[in-house]
Amino acid sequence: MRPPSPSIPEREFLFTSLKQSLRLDGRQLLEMRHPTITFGTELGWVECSLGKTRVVAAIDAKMVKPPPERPYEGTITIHSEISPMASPEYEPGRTSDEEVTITRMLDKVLRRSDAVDKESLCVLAGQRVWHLRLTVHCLADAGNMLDCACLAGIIALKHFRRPEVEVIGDEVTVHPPTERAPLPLSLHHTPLCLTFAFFPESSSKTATSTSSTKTTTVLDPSLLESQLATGFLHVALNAQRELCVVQKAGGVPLTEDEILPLIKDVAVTRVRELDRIVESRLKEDWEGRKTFVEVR
Amino acid sequence: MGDRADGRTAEQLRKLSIVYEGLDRADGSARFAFGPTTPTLTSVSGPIEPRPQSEHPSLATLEIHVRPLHSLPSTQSRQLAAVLKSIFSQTILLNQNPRTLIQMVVQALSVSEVVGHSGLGAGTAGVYGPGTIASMVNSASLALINAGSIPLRGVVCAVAVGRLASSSASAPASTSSLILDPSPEEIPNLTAQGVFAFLFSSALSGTSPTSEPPSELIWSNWSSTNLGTAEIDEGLVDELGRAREMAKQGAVEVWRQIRSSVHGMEAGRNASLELAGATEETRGNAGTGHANTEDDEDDEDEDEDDKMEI
Repeated sequence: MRPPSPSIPEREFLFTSLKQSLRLDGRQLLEMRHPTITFGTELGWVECSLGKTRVVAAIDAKMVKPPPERPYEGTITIHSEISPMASPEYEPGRTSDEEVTITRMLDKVLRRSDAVDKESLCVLAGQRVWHLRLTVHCLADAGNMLDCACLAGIIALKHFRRPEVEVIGDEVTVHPPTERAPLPLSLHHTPLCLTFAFFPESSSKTATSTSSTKTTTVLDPSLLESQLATGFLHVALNAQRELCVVQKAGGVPLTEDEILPLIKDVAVTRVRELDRIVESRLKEDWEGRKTFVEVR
Repeated sequence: MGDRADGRTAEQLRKLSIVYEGLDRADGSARFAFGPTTPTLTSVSGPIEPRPQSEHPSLATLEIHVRPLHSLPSTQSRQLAAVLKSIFSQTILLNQNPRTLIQMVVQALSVSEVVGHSGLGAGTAGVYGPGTIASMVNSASLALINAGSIPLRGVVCAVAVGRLASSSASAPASTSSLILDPSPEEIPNLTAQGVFAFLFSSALSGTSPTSEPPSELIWSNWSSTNLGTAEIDEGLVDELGRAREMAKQGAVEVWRQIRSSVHGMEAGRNASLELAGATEETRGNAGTGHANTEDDEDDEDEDEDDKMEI
């Protein structure tokens, strides 16, 4: 079933507004929607929303035998199938382009960026390691589910606590949370993802001119903006100004003086703000939990 | 005050929580939970355009997806989806909107009923306990009510019932103690458990003593886990009857709370529309006809309300 594409009046309205640096929801061009972060009763369960886009992430851990080629490292798997709850245009069983982008970016940002210290997940070398399973559920797609999913994923990793394990010789004892306080995962850094959408300056349909037409850039595109954009740039950074992932798959060609300022100036500041928000929300949640459970 | 671990009596439900989520891309959505431990979220979209191969010439096609909290849907999710489909095929008036699709997604939001809690590092087997299944049926009913665009025969309410292990294995079934809405701590001690789903509809025959409409049992999965040790006697059949009666009282209570939550649904929707008007959040989307669909939903919800007044 093809999703209804935006109509021509909507297209024209959006492009004309963008040329005047106006966004349809009243934001500035490079302003993100304010993230709302809610934690569940279980550790490692978090719901993130950017405006009306909502994503739930949950983490689950179990001990398994590691693969023989990597006996000293734990493993992480990420499940991010989009259900029709996010929008009726996502059919179950058929992987849409958006889903592929989200899966690949989550993989790059959370697994391959080495955010989690996998060696700390080893319990008994060659025999028992922790296997973390992160499941991301997209509840509502109002544009930019990717940033929301990456945010929910990294916050869930920071929020999760694994049970304490005691190893005596070859014997492994897992202590339930009621006996000993569970431990946080050891994270090297906190990568956060930002998405920029590009629109051509000229409102003609064929925006493939090689002369450098200056493009309008918006941060955190809404649904209509995502449907009408001619290119996307996904950037993941951490608060220490380190670049983790840059993904620009197709779309309108951009020159370096269009991309570099976005990353060096805009992305760095936004990620710092986001990091502050994440840390303060985590801290608030801990204060609330400390009253009835001992956590480390 | 009763003598269960959390202070309830045998026939008392935990505190129910009903929230109309207002998911942006679904026609209706609702979250339901028994106590703090079995939240489930359902979204409904419909009637919408079906896939060409699943279009039916005289009926709406009903599609239900069940998703666990962790990992991908397993065989048990598919089995539960088939069960929910059979329940809601009888509840939704499918002949009113032929050649359309009604799509429901039921999302479990917690795994607290898994035997052997997840905190022990054993992972979660993806098992749905009786409380979660009952919660799914209820949140699906609520989401259908919230959508307002799908004609219903009635409202389906479900509760779980369990039989506590008796002190002697050979005690007759006629004296077994049944509890309503077992909590995750009580579930490992049950020797029989099941979910009972009742359809409440003014279209059914029969009278009821109080204000709720007549009801009929639409589905159950009562099963006993100690049949090897106990004889199958008349007591077991009677026990099923007692469990059913207890579940019906629980379902009536659920129905009452759903009924009173519908007022809150309208108020919440109007409040969020006002809020949206105050900020520019949905102003931009006004051009896409978003405001129009919300008006339509309001009208249909009022009709739904009137139907429930009967």
